[in-house]
Amino acid sequence: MPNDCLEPPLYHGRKNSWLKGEDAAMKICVAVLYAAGLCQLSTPLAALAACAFSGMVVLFSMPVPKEFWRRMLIVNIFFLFICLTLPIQFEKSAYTVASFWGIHLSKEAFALALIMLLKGNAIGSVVLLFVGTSSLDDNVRALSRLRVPQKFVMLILLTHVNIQLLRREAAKLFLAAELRGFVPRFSVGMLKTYAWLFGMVFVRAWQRSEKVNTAMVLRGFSGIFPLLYEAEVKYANTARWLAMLLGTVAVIVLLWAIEHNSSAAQAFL
Amino acid sequence: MHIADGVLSTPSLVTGGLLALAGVGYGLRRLESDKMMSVAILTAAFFVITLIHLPGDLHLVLHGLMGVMLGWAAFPAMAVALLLQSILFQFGGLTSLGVNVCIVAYPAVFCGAVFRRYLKEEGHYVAAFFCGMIAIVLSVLTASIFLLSSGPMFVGTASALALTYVPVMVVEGLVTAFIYGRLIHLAPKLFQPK
Repeated sequence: MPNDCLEPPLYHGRKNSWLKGEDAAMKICVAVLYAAGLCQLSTPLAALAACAFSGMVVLFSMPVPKEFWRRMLIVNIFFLFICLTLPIQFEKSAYTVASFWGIHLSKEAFALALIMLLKGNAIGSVVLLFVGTSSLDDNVRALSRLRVPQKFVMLILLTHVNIQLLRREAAKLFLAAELRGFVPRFSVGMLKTYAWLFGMVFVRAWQRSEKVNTAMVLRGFSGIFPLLYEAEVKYANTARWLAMLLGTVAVIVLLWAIEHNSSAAQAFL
Repeated sequence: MHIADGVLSTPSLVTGGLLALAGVGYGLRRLESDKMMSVAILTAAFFVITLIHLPGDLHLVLHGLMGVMLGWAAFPAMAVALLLQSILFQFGGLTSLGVNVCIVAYPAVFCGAVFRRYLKEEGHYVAAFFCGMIAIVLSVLTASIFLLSSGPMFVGTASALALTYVPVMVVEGLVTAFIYGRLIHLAPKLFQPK
């Protein structure tokens, strides 16, 4: 399984990153605003500028842990798929560079794939830095403060708590299968064995849910856990929020200006 | 099928986000407070199972089965699972979360509505197979629609996606049928909607 520790990837990194002490709600707002602003860029120059700015943010949040680069590698696997498949077109055009077996490779599409790669890395690196440096509990409390429906917040918390327990159950079941001589070689028999093991995970989950539900109802559970967090009504925090949000808006406006100018230049040429 | 940030056009992202919000909102309204724990634990079970890779580096989605077990509650459950995957493992983006939810949740709810009447009784292995397979087919179709709505240049990407998921469709159908065969005897209540 990809992550043994079920917390955002940079949370357990070195403690002196300035982002770790910042308010999770503010970081989520900045990350979402930045992502929403950047996803509209469509010219190479603007995408490159966005990537450069995100790179500066990453370097400024030193020390950058190794885990950050490993996670960016995972993000780029999808972009590798895009770079390999987007240039494949089924109709010839003025931008076709090669053709074989009815498939035409388009350099315009390849350029578009590179723009997506730059944008995706620009957005992904900032989102990873901002959201990944708070614990999941802090992020969920932040969602609650940002007026996300309580039921949804509860569902995230309860799911997160139970994932670790069910991973251990699944690990025990698979270990038991291995001890009984199960070797996973691709066949219908292997699929049956996996299906039975998955079925047992569901059965254990359902049995647990029945017991826990009954216990909670008997203790007066009415559907909502009150989330305890400090009410942060400090002027210093408010000023930092405003500064971060205004700074993000300023960067987005600058990138849109670069986009507009480079589109105008391309049209002129 | 997790689409990252920066790939889709703004209209596609906005449409996906609005459709996902509508589905999640309706699912949360239908979800009763006393069923919250059951839904959370089943969501966790699905989350754990999707992390397990079969030989050939194949990992299952099982969202057809999830739709049968959870009904409309599959919508918020899928949204939670995808949000956790995005935050914890960087599978899928934040701006594309709405689109990713639509890709997985609408087929799940559809398959749940169509196949639950069969799967709550014993003996319907063929229905279980088609439940698993059709959920994947609909997800691939939905992902292709979102990709192509971002531009006709995505035709190669959509075709490659469809081709790579053909073996997954068959495996998912088989595994769903086998899981159904196990669960209908051990825990038939799982096939009653929440």
